[in-house]
Amino acid sequence: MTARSVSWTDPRKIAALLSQVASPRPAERKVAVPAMGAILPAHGPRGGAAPTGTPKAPSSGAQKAPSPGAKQAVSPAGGQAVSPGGRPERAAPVAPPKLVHTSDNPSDRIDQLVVWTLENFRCSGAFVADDNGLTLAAHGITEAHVSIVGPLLSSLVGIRTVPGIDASAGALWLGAQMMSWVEVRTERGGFCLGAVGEEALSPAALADLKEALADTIRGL
Amino acid sequence: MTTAIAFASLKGGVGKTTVALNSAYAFARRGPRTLLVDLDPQGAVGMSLDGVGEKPGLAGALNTGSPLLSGVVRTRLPELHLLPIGDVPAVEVDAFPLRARDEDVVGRLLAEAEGNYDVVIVDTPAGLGGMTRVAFEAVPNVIAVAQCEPLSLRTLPRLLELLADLRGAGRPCSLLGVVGNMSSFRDPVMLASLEEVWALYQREVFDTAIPRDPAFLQASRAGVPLGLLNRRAPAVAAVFDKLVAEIEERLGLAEEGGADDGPIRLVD
Repeated sequence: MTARSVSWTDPRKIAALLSQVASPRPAERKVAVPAMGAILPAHGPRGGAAPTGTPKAPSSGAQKAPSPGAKQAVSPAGGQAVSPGGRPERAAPVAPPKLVHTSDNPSDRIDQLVVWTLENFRCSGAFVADDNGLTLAAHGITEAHVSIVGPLLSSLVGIRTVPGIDASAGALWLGAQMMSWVEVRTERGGFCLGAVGEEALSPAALADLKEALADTIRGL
Repeated sequence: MTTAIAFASLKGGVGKTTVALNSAYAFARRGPRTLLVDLDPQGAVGMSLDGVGEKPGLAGALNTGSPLLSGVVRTRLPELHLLPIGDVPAVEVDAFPLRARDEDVVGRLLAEAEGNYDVVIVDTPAGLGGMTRVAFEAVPNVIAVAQCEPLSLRTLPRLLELLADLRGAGRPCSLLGVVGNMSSFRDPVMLASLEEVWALYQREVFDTAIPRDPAFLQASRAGVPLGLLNRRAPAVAAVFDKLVAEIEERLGLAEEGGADDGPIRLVD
């Protein structure tokens, strides 16, 4: 509850209740949430916001030079390399470049984080939201992805009561895509960086995202 | 398959009956065979519509042991039927929900409606006990009506708590959405209330907010739905067309046109 609250209602409580009682929707409207602040590339190297379930087309000339160790041909489905025998092989993991912020402006930093995520991880969309589900920056995702952040993080509060359970990162099957997320908590509450793609991100990738998110929101 | 929707609120006076009956009218205008059921023992629908209050309705059917739909009242719209609560003596208002639960009135009603109606709109009384609780135990979709004022907002979580408890007990009820009612962008408290509904309930809030409008009072005085207030319906009547279209989308009814559904040429 804040001083401006009319309802005297705890948003976390509502989010938790809604996660229990809200009816499932038959079809989500695919409305892209525009990013705040900086103009983001229309199509990232990983295909940008491809429609759900649609194989991503190979990236055009806008694609960056492939990283060392990633010389195998990438299949149209994205993410899987094709061996000489034609059998798909998982590409060797490539460590992403470290996110280096060039601005102290919070909006710019968060936008930069989203761009960095899109460029370096296997995802078609990414967003940053607070634990109330308020979108701070987003690209290539639907509103539905962001709207589940509040209920998701609220539900994790109970899970963390189990000793030894961190539950600050994970992945959720959305029915057509996987949403991987990491959470970093600050004195101002929790912040969530989410990435939506065809596969869940690896633990190593989640660790990289968490480090980048923590660095981005430090001091905000 | 019949779809049942209950309109509910803990707080009284938020406009449940007004929203329910105008939504039922809008549903029927769009084509689905629609039944508006009054589960308020005090007869809110009968008090809102001229020519309905004296009908035997649901209570009459119960008392005579007849099929519950025998109490249905036909309307000017062939697609819209009403089932008023009928005559429930004031001294029996408290006992009526007990009888309704014992006799599984809502379950039987929905079973009778299956195949005869496409949509059943259920108007519930204020509060979370009594007939509201009975309705929630059988009706799978609940729309919370939130008047854009502080007290109404403060009671909304209790409704969600009840739904959560009932779902935990195996009941199929779920929140279909929250609709803001009596909104005004000119009043700062009402505007702040509506904004807070959006902030708290997010995607559960219907995009359509029903504004405060003098036409509601005129329709109430005349005892008619907004759409029948005069030959040219007031502008505010259109919000129910929008609300109902949203409800249909959430229920998946909008996609029932099948694979052949699509744009229709204006000119042949």
